[in-house]
This record gives sequence, C-alpha cells and structure tokens, in this order.
Amino acid sequence: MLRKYLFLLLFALVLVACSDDNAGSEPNDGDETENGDTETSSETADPFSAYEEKITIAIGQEVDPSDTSLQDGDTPLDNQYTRHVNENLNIEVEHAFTASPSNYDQKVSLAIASNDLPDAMVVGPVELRQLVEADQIADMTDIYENYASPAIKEIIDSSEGVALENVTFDGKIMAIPNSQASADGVHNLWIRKDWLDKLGLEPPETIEDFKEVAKAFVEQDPDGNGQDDTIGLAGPDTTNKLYANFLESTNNLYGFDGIFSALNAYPGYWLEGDDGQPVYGSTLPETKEALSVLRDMYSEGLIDPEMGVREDSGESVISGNTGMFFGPFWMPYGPITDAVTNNPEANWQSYGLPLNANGEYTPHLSTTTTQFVVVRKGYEHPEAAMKILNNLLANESEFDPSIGGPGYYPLRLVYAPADEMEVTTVALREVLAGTKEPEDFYDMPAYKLLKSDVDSIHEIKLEPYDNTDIEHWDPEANLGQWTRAYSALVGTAPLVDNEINGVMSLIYSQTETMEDRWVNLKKLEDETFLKIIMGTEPLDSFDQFVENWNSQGGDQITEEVAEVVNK
Amino acid sequence: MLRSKSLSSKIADAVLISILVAIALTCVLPLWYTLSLSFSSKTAAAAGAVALWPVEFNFNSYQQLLQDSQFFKSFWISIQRVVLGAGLNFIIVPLMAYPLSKTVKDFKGRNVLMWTLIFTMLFNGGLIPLYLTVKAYGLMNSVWALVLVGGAQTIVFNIILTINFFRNLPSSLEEAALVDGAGPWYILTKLFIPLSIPVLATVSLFSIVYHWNEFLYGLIFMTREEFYPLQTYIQQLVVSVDPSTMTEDQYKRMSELSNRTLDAAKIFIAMIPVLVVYPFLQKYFIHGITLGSVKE
Repeated sequence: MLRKYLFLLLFALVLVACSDDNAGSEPNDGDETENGDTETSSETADPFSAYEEKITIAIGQEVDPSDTSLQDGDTPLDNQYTRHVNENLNIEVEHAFTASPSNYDQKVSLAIASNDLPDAMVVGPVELRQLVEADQIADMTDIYENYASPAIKEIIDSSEGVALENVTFDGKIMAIPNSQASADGVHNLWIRKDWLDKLGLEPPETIEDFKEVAKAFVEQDPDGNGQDDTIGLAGPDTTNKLYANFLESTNNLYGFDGIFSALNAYPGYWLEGDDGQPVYGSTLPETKEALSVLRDMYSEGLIDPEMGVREDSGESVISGNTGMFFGPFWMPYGPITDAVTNNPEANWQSYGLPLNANGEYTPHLSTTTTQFVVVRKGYEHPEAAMKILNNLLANESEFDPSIGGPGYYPLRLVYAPADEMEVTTVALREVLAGTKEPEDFYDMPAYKLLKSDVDSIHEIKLEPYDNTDIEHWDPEANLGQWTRAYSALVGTAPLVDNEINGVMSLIYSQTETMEDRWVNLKKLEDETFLKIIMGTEPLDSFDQFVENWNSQGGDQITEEVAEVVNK
Repeated sequence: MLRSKSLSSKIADAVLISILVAIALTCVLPLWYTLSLSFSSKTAAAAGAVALWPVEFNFNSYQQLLQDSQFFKSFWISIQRVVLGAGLNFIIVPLMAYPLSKTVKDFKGRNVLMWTLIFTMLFNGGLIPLYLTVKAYGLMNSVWALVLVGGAQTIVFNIILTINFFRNLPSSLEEAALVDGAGPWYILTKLFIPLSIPVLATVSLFSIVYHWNEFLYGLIFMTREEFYPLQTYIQQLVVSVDPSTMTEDQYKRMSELSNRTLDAAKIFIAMIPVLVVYPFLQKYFIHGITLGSVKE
C-alpha cells in the first residue's frame, strides 16, 4: 500500500517538473529548422520598416537590480522601450535570460558553453571571438550593408574603421559593433586643490614635482587634524589594475596610468618597436624605469601603503585622507559626490598632468568599441537585431529616462560621437560666458544630454563662471545635474585644454594564442609588477619576467599581433 | 565536575578561554559590523568610517528595504525552497538509510547501491552537463531545480550519517519487534524514526542551512531575477563590477549603485531565519553528530 503512495508521490513530482516545461523554455525551442538563409531578397531592405507579421526575438538582457527607475508597473520586459520596438517594428521582445551587470558575463559564458544561445545578445570582445571560432553566430555582412541606418554607419565610420575591424573575421562581419565617447579612456590626475593652496604648492608639472607634492601631502598634515593619516597618491584596490591595458583600455580607477605615460612607458599596450614591428609595452625598458620610480615612491610612503589590498580605494577619497589619484573624467559620478557631501570644502580638481620630459601630455587612449551584438546562427530574422538598433539611435532622445533607464532598451549598444564630453564642456563654457545661448545647442540630437546640460547649468554654477573651484558651485540645488556638469567642466577640462599627444595600442582584441595563454601571462605580469613596486622583489626581477613572458607564449603572441597589424 | 586549582591549570584555563573568546569574536564581529553598517548614514558607510558603532544612526535602509518587492519575492522563494528541500530530505533519508543499514546477508544489493551513492559524492559531471540536464527536464526557472539538484548533491552525506546512527541502535530492539510480528514499515516508522530524532534533526538542519545559503544554482538555473532565491539576489548586489567593463550608463549610475547600508540591511535580514532556527535544533545538533560517528 505504502509503496503505491510512494510511487504516486514520485509520479506527481515528475508531473510538476514537466508542467513547467512549457512555461520555462519557450524562447529557444521554437522552430530551429530554418537555416541562416533569410529572405532578404524578397523583402526590400528598409532599415526602419515594420514586419508585416509579428516576429519574436529572445535576447539576453542585462538588468541592474538596484535600478529602480521603472514606473507604473513596468517591468524589464514590458516598458516604454519594448513597447516602442513592438509598435514601430512589430517585433516582440522576449528574455531568454536576464542577469545583473556583475553576473551577465557568466550567463553569456554558460550560454556559449552549453550551446544554448538566445536569438541575439550583447557580448564583449573575448566572447565574440569564442562564438566565431565555435561557428555559433550568423554572418552579418549583408545585413550590416543592407539594413544599418545611415546614422549608425556614420558613427561607426567615424571610428576610422576600428569598429568594423574588431568584428571582421576572414572578411566577414560577424557582429554589430558599438562606438562610444573616447573620454573615459584618458586617466587624469585628480588633486585636492584646497590642500595645494594650503601648503602653497602648484599642480605638479613633472614627475619630480609630483613626488614633492605627494611628500608634502603625506608629511605636512594638509587636512590639519594633527594626525599622520593622509595618503599622497591612492593606489589600485582589489577590483582595479595598476594600469589600463589593451583589452580593458578604459575606466581604470586609482591606477598609475599617469605616471607610466609621463615616463613614456605604456605597459599593457601593443606599441610599434624601433624596427617597426609590434612589441608589448610591459616588456620595454621604459616600463622598468617607471617601475623603479614607483618603487621609490612606495618605499618613501608617498603611495597608499595599503594599495592592492583595499576593497575600495574610493573610501579614503570620500573620508578625506587621499590627496591625489588617477581616474577618468566621470569620477564625480564615483567617490567625489560623496566626498563633497562629507566635506563641502573638498576641492577636487582635475589636470592633464604630469607631463613627460619634453613637456607634453601623452596619455594612452582607448578603443571606442567595447561591445557587440551577435545573432545566433539559424535565427530566422537576423536583420531584426539591426533594426532594433536603428530604431534606438533614431528615437533615443524621445525616451524619458526617468520612467525607465536606457539600459532597458533591448540589445542596447552605446552609440555616441567620440567627442561627446569635449563638446559638452565647450558648450557649457560658451553658455556660461554668455557668448552663446542654450538654444544654440538644441539642434544636436547626437549629443543626447547636451540640451538638459545647457539648460540647467545656471542653476548649479555660481559666479565667477570661469572658476571651477568647489566653493563656486551649488551641488545641493540639483545633485544629479551637478555631478554631470562637474564631470564636464572639471573632469573633461584637461581633454579640452591640453594638447593631447595620445598613444593608441596597435590592437584592442585578442589573438588566437592569447585565448590559451593570456590569463597566465597577465597574472605573471600583474604579480611581478606589484611585487616590484611594493619592494618584495628586486627591480631586476623585471628582466627575469621579460624572459619568462617571452618563453611562455609571448613570442608567439607577438608574431600573431604582427600578422594582424601588417595585414 | 571537580577542578584542581593548581597554578598551571589556571594558566591553561586562561589561555584556553582567551583563545575561545577570540574565536567567538571573529564569528560575531562580522555580524555586528553588518548590523551597525545597516544603521549608518550612506556617506559614512562609503567613506569607511563605520567600525563597531553606527555613524549617524538612522533607519533609512530598512525603510528602503520595505519598498523593494523583489527582496520579498526572493525571500518567499527561499522559504519554499527550504520547506520543500528539507521536507524531501526528511522523507528520503530514513527511507534509504534503513535498508542500507542492514548487512549484505539481509539485503543483497546493498553494497552496489552504497557504492553508487558514494560514487556520486566523489564525482560529478560538472556545471555545463548539469545545466543541460536541468534544461532537458524542463526545470529551468522552477524551484524544483533548486530543491532537487541541491538536495541530490547533499543527501548522500546525510544518509551515511543516519545509517551509522541506525546501526548503533541495539539490535535486540528490532529483534523483539520482529518476534512480536512487526513488519519493516512498522519497525521504521514506530521504532527507528522516534529513536533517531537527534540525527534526523541534525540532517534537517544541514539541509535547511544548505538550501537557505546556496546561491550558485539560483544564478545558473534561473533565467530571470524574479525567480532568484534570496541569496542569489543578494550575491548580485554585493559582487562589485569591474569598472573597466562598465558602459556609459553604468558609471553614470554608480553613485546610486554603491549603497552599502542598504546591502547590509538586506544581508542582515537574510540571516535572521537561520539565526532563529538554530537555537531550536542546536540541542540535537551536537548530540546527533557524535552519536553517528561511532561505529560498532
């Protein structure tokens, strides 16, 4: 009798399990019978036309759990953006999966490894390469040529071919690239100007000056609390790097990028050697020289002694212990807002310093293409992904971000002119100086936030308008707009005012051997350099590192890079 | 208990007590820190100014937490998971442990079955095959994926613990019951289970804590946040994003993102159920493990 019950129980379990099948896995089990041959010829290639019959596209979507902007019962799957796509293009968006920003890459890797791909999704350069090698994604060459809107083509072409180069494999375009503002690839020097003024110092022009300022910040008690608790230069925390590299060329917070580039060292970048062949910047003598400078600074206590072990170096910026750090223009979006809330006199200013021996500002520059939309091989409507992106760029300014952040747009890639921030800075200055009216900037739709920037600047900036010190701002009037305006007028100022002799990497993507070897080579590099700076290994272990690096695959990778570059 | 009062034993006591206090503190302080973080102001938390006491004491995080509907959805999913998972565990463990506690003489296939179980403890197919299996069974986005996969992986240990406990029960008890005409079902339900409450409480506690704390399967088998159990929901909040992979939108929202006080409040609330269950089961807990560990 009881055995019968047990059997019934098991049977019930199986039933429950099966009944969920229909609800859970609808997106991908659709008809996969048709192959990549789309009926593009029978249909006229119109980038914006709606489908006659409703089609569905199951995508991978990043959803930020702390984003609370959705209003009125909207969901990540049903909001102003998905409705717009549905009405304009007759495309029904479904979610094959969603994940938070911190887990999205993991979900993508799982989808790739299990060959359980959504119809379309946004991926990074490493995943793109894996997908191409495993032959899992559709060839987008014809679709890009026939369906990409003129506006997207214009922005992609403005990258001088770099964007398309990143997605071209054996002459075929395998993904749709993004193209974004380049300002976040330059790492400026941020300084507490109130500390400089108090100690009677000037912003440091050279590495020698820089050391003096750091020394003064550490030793002369600039915060005046009588305690020996100040840090000259912040160092990277556990999530950041010593310097940005060719694969992650943007947004390195609290690194030493500015010091390396002032010494003409570009570790992590592929450079042209003396013989015209590619070399890896981390293996060059300039890098060794820069490491010895950093090593001396660390041993003199000018760099945060807890670098590399802190969970968040922003903490000491907010608490008012740090005097200088390197970071991109948008740091007001990061710790500086909290720093100013904490201490309204914390006058963080940004400079294109220090300069190199010839008095030039020579930061390393980033790639403007970091993300790609790929379409699963076998999906019947690969052009739908392109149409969704065309629709985004054509209508982006009409959406209201206060009822749902832009991240909810399906397959969203950032398309922005490369000079977006610099143009904003110049526009704000002209409006403040009175040489132009806000209305003069209304007709620039590619610069999405420019209108609200020029309209609100008088609300938060106090006179004198040409002085950006913190006492001439009113952050409390509109903290959101203040953050943006401060990022433009202070953070971006070095990019507008300096002549930038920037250095690009020869490539910004992986080659074949890197897939197997790069993780280990990178680890070798990071560990060796960190130990050299912190003084636990002698400077000359750098030479051993170069030898190991070459023998553990570096030679082969250099050859591959040369092939790519000389092609 | 008699204690000798010699100096050396006093010193030994002092050393032992201070070591134990130190160990206890390392367990309690993180909880206490999380609690005081959750009551501090946002700026103080971001500046790292909070240590043992809240700075600028307030309830803002808890007020915000009440408006977070996903937190409570996930909380409910975790409750379901624990009830189903621990319930199944409670049913299956004695059912399997009883026959397996017999010798090969009584139960012919015993060793084969036992080794099959142990094999699954030592080896598994890896994450991707597991994912494909769960998908093929149609369990994606179902709480049963969490209950069954997690349960199957932890139950073997619980069964072995219970087998050892059953074997320690006096065999004359069972013989007496047999003589009086009891069948195996009767012996299990009326004799073995009531006698084995300590070990069953212990394995239930293992199961409850496991199902409550496990987050990885939630991340892998659930395709949308609305299906996440609580710990998966919390994991995605506290793992920081590498800024070099951030896009424009993300860093523009970073000042909102770094809300450590709210995260601390969520973590603390999420700890409460286990903290509440523990004292009730703890008296069986220590008893259960040690009893099962001695084999005759």
